[in-house]
Amino acid sequence: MGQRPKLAAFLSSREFYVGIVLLGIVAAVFWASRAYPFVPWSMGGPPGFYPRFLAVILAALVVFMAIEAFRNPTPLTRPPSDFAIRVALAFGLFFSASLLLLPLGFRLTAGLVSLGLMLIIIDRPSVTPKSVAIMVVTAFGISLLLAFVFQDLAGRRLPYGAVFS
Amino acid sequence: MEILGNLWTLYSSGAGMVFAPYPLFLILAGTVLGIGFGAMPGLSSTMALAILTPLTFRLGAGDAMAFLIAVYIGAVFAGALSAILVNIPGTPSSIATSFDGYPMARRGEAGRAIGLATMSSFLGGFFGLIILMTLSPALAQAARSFGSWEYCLLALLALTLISYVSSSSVIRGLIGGVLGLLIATIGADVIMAYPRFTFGVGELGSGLNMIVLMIGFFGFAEIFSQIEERHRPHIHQRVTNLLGAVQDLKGQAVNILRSSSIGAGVGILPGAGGSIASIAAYGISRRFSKTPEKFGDGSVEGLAAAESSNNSSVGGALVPMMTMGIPGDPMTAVLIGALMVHGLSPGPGLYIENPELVSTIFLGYFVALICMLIVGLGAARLFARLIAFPRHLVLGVITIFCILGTYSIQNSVFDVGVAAVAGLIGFLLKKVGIHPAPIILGIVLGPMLENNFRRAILLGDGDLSPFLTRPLSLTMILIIAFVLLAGPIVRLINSLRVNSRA
Repeated sequence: MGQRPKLAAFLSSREFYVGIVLLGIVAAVFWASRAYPFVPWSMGGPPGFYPRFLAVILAALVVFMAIEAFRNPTPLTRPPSDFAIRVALAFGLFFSASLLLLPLGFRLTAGLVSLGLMLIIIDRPSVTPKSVAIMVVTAFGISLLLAFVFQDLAGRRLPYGAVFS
Repeated sequence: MEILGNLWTLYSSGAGMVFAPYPLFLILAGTVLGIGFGAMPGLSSTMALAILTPLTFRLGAGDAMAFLIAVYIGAVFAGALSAILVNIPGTPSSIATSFDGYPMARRGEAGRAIGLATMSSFLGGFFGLIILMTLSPALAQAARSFGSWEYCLLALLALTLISYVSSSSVIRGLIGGVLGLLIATIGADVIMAYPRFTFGVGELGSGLNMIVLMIGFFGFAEIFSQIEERHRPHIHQRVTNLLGAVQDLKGQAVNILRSSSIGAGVGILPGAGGSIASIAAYGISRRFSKTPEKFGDGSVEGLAAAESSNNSSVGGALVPMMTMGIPGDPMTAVLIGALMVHGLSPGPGLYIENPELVSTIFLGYFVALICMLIVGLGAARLFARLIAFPRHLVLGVITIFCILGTYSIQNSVFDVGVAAVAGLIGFLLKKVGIHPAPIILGIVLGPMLENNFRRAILLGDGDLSPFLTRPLSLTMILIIAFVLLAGPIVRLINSLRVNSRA
């Protein structure tokens, strides 16, 4: 393969984009630690030294990865849109659990998130009134059972929900 | 205080903490839960430990560790069930089990295969326990002479080894390890408590909790991966006559002993867990077998070798974890987190100041093996049904455990958000060939590495030469260099040979 096609393959490879992100992390470490105080080694050393040292190692590893990828690039493949949407929805659900736990409480939040995930995963043709009923019973049943075991029996504090108090 | 001179205390002082109704119930419950997680494809032993660890925080340290080790043992064994019944290893350490277990099941001997796997697992696990009980006190005694230089390099060696074995390339593994070390720097600086990378967010002042990150990387990330997986396994075989495998064990003593030795030895190496142990033992068993042509077609020797080695690796992995705080695999990394939550640090200090906890771990391990044998033989049919359970229901239940686990660590909704983000990042990193195992090890070993590195510079007054002049340090540097350079040098030599022939 000539140099130009090799370069083009590298620039559209998975490793190129991963490398950009990792170099961004390196830059972020240096930027975030720019104002850290200088402390002599006799008193423990500067707090910014070690993360910057790691960032330099990371940058060097990115260069090695780029060299490896230049010889043997892995093409960047787009995932099926259906799968990407499902993953995005699942992430949204999990993240929303952190926002809903205090207002709605553990029982309701965990049940809703669990039910939502089941609906994301299940094949469309398998969605029937019976399967939905099983999912609802499973999601809220397990949520209530675990809340009972860990809060009422074991005395752990779980959020009850601001809307219910 | 001498560790080796106090062996009787180490072996027996935990008896009262293990042989009582409540701890025995916890060990049985842990074994059952571990088998449940391990039997289902897609749910790993690491996920089981990460999700269940926060639920042990109210327990005493001894009860918590006995429960978690029971989960560990149950999960490592139970991967054999789905490997045998549907040719899908329930855990990575059961890959080699499917080579001969599934062919046996296909010819109607599923019960015999499961019985043989269970008994071999018990014997291998028992061998691993003996290794743990004999080797770990001696190693803990030796580790007392380690200084900051040695601990720093030990952490580096562990990261290098796991990078070598766990990712698609060594460079990606090392990238994962360095990312983990960087994540560990978030929060208060280890020596001065100066806040680093907190960006004004109060919750980051104490850093990111490692259990939360483990639930993210091994819990939520796995759920994202499973969204892609649509196949639902169906079990066609009947599971009967498990005890018929007792006959098969006769004549397997040498095979099981050899495979268990390999398993325990491989388990001691950081990063090299049950999967490598079982594949290595399987290959060597085939080489020594009088009937190697039967391997891959339902060989009793192959199945016994695979299962005894992967369970003996559990004992091996606990050796560096307990004596030096170096995780042998991601599962022991979770156990280190569990110890730290209870205010304990693994290492020689554990053997000196908490011998009853060490004894509880030894005895709890033994009881868990017995529970695994009884439950594995008695309830195999029941656990077999779990394998065919609808995936969307199983993952929905796992989600509830993940939310409960992450919230209950510090009663913090911030942690739930962190776990979700860590899950997405872990999933995306796996897609580009960066496995979460080196990242988690980096997070666990980060404080140890930085603390000892800066202390070593402090003690040397800025002089780094003790890293080279201390014999043990120099040995570790040479091993690290060998691990990093061996692959490229071998490739270079091979390419020069090819060129010279051409």
